[in-house]
Amino acid sequence: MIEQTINIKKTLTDKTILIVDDDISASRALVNTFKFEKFNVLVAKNGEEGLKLALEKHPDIILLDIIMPKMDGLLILGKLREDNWGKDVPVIVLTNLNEIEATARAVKNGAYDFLIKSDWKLEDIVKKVKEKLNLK
Amino acid sequence: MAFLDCDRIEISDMNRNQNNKENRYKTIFELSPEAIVILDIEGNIIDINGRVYDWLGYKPEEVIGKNIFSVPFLDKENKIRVKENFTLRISGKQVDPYELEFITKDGKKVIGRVMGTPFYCDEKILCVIIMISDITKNKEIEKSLKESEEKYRRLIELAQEGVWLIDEKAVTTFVNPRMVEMLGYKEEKEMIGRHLFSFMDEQEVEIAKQNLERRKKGIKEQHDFEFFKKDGSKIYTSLETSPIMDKNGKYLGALAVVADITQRREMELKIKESEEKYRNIITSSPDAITIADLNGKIIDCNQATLDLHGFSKKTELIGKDAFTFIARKDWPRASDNMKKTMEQGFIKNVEYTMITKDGREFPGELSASFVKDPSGKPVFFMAITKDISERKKTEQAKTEFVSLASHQLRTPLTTINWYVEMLLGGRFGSFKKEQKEYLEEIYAANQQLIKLVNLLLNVSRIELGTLKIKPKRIDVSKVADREIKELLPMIKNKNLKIKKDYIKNLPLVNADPDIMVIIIQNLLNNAINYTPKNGRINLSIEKQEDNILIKISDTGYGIPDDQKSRIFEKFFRADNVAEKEPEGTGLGLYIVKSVIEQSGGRVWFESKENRGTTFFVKVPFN
Repeated sequence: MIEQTINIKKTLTDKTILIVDDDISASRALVNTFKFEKFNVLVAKNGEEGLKLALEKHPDIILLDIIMPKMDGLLILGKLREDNWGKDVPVIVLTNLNEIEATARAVKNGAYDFLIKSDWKLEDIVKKVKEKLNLK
Repeated sequence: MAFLDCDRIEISDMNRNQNNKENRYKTIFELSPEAIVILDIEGNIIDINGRVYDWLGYKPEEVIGKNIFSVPFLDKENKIRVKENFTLRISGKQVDPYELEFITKDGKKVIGRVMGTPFYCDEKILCVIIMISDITKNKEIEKSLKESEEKYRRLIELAQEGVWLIDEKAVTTFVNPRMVEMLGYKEEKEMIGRHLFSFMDEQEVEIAKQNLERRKKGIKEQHDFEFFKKDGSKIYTSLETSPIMDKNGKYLGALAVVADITQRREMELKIKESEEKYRNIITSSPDAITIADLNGKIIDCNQATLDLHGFSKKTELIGKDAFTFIARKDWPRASDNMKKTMEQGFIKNVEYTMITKDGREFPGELSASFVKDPSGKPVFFMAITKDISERKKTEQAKTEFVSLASHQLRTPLTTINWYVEMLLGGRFGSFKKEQKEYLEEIYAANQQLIKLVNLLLNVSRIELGTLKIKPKRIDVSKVADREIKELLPMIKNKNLKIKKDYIKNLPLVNADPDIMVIIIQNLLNNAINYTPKNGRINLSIEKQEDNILIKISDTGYGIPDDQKSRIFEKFFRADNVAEKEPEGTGLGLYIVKSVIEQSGGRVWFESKENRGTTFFVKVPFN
């Protein structure tokens, strides 16, 4: 399984965010935070499920880890860009892999931003997401 | 006419015959190709023939009756000679023909050969007949021949080449001084009269015999030859030999012009040896070496080249384009680099995707140089190529190891970070003051760890040589502004004043933006951390010839004099700041210096303890 939709009683935002990350702790902190920020949150714990979920549910934004089992984040990004819907979906790469090649590939595939998890506070990640979705 | 008066006196009754005879002589007299002057016994000119006029330009009426010792066509000295000889003749003595200089009417000097004979009548000298042949031309020819002979004689004597003449039996008839010296003799006579074969060993004798046969057939040729010197050593010579034949083609001997080529030969041998040596080096080199002409066509290559690219024979490659070794996608770059090689003479360690004969690609590295002849004219390209697959794999492994290690370290750090952040955010209830403080301690320590991981990642990349430098045209002032903005909370916290001073129209520099961030961030961080509250920081950017100079100065603690030399060492921290700011890692300046130097720039500082420090960074435009 791996899909977990959290419906908020009264959403201040009708936006859906997909979090694709195999690190359960990180994923849980992000889910909790975005839930607190009244997002609809979708979660996938590996690359394959992340891609499947994205193509099915068409979230408004995706937070994408890179190193994951089954399919790595950069591959997912590439596949998304081949999809009619996926080609425009905003993707923020959120990873602990600090590597120029990875950043370059992500940027080439139209990632909105490339953030190193350990260098970013949750509140700043939220700001980034809201900024992209034009939310206050 | 006064010719042969004696006849007229003696034979008056035979007048008619006499007249005929006289006319005959008169004709001979006038037609004679030689000038004839007839003198009486006093030396007065009785008659001259037409040839005198032709030759000297004097008409008979101008000289007849004049004494020979006062004629205008002889100078004083010659008149004396004539007088002496005339006196001898008159006294009946024999005078051999002699040469005399005459002066023509128009002042030219001519030479005549004078032959005189007294004319007797009744055993008495009646007159003296002087016949003069014009030998001016002969004398000139003789003179020029003499000069020419002298010239050639000197030429042969002074010639740098030996000259050697043999007769038809191959016996030496002439050698010039140089030839004598060349073979180590002192005098020509030591060689003259000796058979040619006595100057060579048996093997050479056989060759010389064949050579002489060709000479006898009239063949000229040039060849190298070894002779024995007087002391028994060998001399290597180069000979130009020609046969000498008489008019009828009979062989009279041969002439050789001989040059000593011992030195040249030794040099040639040395060059050959050295060529051999270099050829061996190239042939046996484990690196692939290819030589191409100026159009990039392969002239030669070694076995390693064949092995590297999967060819079996050199002939498969010779004449082909050197780009044969490089994957098509890299051709434009290879073409640019070829131009660069021509301009600067060489190119080092350029990486290309290379290909084998069957199209397999592999990572290769190429260094090339432009080989010039001694006059500086480019002759060919020499390229050394290497398969760097293994190195690439190792590099890749190193890079991956560092990336993954730091990734794995960051993962739990992120968890601590985010969860403490959530707890402190108050979403899950509030904490007691102390609890909150402890959580803040955990958070700060974790931040410190993250910083350390980032620094160590940079250090590892620098030390493993895997730090990738990707230069772009960047505006350094923008990088500086961004970093100041980022650090503004810290600056405000310490109530520091920061002043920016950028020159107008700052040129863009070709530098890696990430590296520029590392440099400015670290130096600004230090300035902030090591300046007490209410201090000042100044950041200026100026242009200096081909560089940009970044100056970051503070009014901070400064660097103690005795520790200045160690300030860029890894993990080194100056005593005065280690106490005040225990959180520093001692890696910042080490990283700054390493990355600057890897990018071709320079960093240095000026500092006074408790007054402040200025760091200078020079970044070349390119």
